[in-house]
Amino acid sequence: MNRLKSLCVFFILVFTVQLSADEAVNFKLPNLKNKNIQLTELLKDGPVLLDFWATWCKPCAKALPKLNKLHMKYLEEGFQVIGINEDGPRNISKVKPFVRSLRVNFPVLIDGNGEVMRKYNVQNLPTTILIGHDGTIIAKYIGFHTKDLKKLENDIQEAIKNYKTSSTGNE
Amino acid sequence: MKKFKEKQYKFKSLFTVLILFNISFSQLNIQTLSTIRNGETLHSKKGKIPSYYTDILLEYRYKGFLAGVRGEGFSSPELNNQYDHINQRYLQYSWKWVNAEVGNFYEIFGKGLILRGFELPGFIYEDQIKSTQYRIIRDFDGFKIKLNPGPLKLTLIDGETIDPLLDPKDKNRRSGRVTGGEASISLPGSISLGTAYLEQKNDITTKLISRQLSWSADPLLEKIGAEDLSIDFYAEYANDGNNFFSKKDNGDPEALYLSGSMIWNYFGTSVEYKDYHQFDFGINDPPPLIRENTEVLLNRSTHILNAFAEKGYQIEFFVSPFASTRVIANYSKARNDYSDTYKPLFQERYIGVEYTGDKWSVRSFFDSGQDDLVSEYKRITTGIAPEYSFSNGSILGFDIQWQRIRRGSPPFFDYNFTNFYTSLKLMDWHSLSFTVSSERSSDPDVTKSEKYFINTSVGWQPIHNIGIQFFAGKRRGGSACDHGYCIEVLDFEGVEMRIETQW
Repeated sequence: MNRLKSLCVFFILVFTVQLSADEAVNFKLPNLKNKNIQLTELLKDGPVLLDFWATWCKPCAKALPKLNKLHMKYLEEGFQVIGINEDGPRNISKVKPFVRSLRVNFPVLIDGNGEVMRKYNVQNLPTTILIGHDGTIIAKYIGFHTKDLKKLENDIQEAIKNYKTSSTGNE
Repeated sequence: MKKFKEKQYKFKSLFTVLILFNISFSQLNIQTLSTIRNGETLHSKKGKIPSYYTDILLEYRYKGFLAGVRGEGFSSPELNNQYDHINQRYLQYSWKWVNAEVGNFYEIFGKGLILRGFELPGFIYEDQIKSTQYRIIRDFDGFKIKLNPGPLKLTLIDGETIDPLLDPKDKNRRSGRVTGGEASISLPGSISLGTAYLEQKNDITTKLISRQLSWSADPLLEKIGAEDLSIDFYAEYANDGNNFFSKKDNGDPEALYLSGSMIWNYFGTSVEYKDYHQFDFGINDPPPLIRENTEVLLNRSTHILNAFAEKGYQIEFFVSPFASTRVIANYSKARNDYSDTYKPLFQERYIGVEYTGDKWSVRSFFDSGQDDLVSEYKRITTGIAPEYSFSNGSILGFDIQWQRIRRGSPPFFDYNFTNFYTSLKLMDWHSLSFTVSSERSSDPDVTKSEKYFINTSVGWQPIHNIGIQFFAGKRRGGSACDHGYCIEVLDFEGVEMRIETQW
């Protein structure tokens, strides 16, 4: 345990020298039409909610239609939900039919080997991460709880407001 | 015991320091997973034993640069098998279309026919022989370079391989090496072509090559005005890297995987085919083409892929007549070709109906299966799980499942047995969730007489990045599939607390 502890302490002392907000890590993943999509490109249109899910995850199936409602409600204001599928190579052919059966309209990207999941330190499915248009991580929700939807919607509205303010400022 | 308490105290101090630092410096990510338990596992003759497991991941990110270190430790005051070690350390750098990694990394070539590194998030494996616990992490220790300019994608890797099912104290855990690369190109018309080659060095050197083709007809269908229709196809063929095609008669390794899906409005189907021959190298993970069921009894009754000799297919249909209703039907079939006289068969027929309303939601299923490899000639499983959502966000759920299995190898043995599972859940009541589960089994392999497994668990999520789960009672083991990977889980009786944090 000593080696482990020394490394932890060393790590903290050496690297934690800068104060800053959590920044979203850029990634490039294929969508269901095999076209590569980059996060930085998506953020140009406004805030993004990443939803990490898999076909075998029961709460994910519950969350997807609820998130789809938010996607449709705020799409015209620049907000969008992006599904990140974590089925890996096993159930990949089932992803598209699954998405359609739940009548999900938002784009779904395939994280073939969980690379993006690790980049965002996602340990549980579903996990949703709200990212502001400036690439700042605004909120992270672990698991799906109906009672969180109200707070999530408030966070989305706030992110859209910031996006609009910033767009007006730039003009 | 004193030593154990000292270790716990020191760990708590370190943990507090880490949290305090991270509150101020948010560029550092910390993840911890700990379990504290007192109980006994099946077949253990040591009685109730307290034990403690922890896993810590530290990551520092600055622009395109990432440094990480991960350690895990296990201790038990009554077992002489404690360990602690650094199991991963890595540096990554990303710039535009270049990504370089040194240290521990994961990679997949194609759909994993010849190479797949992965981890099972949140899963702690219990080693029955060594009476210890550790994470299942199959990574590579070396370097990886990934270039992705425009439609091209090139990956080069070199690293030591790991046997994740060997305990951390085993010196042979990292004994092999893999070197290889993959190149793919996206062409107009939604066509993608790729090829991968690698050399695996253990006592012998194995060369493997794979070719991939994927195609989506959607752009074409859109052009002709058939937007409601969607068609995809994927093919991958892999074999011994010394030959363009393998000859099965020579015992050469060979694997073929095909998949496709077609959707029309709210009706869809997916089809997959596999033919694997001598294709298990410990670094690959060919798709098993078995439905990964989440229902407790079905999840345990899974079929474990044997890529040395397995052929089969899987078809799944769905229809969603209303936004609230889904019907899913699945048929899977696999045959192991062990010899001219022994070709065990696995097959499963599944139908599930799901209804999701504003207040009520119900899931029900019926499944009929056969798995010769475990001498289960007829297996019928059915269940229903209604849930009611209260206006305050809390959910009350009930789950009932029943299974009848005929196990036999006449004239040596032939008998029937049943498993009956029920659970009652109250979820999202403030920040708490409660579950009471029970299972009754008359399986003579588990017990000589009918036996009950009754347990209760309480989950508490005070804030989003802390999850605490308390378990008490008896938990049934068996095969369990998690994140697409199936593994043997042991029975457990006792109390357990699991704490997960993310900062």
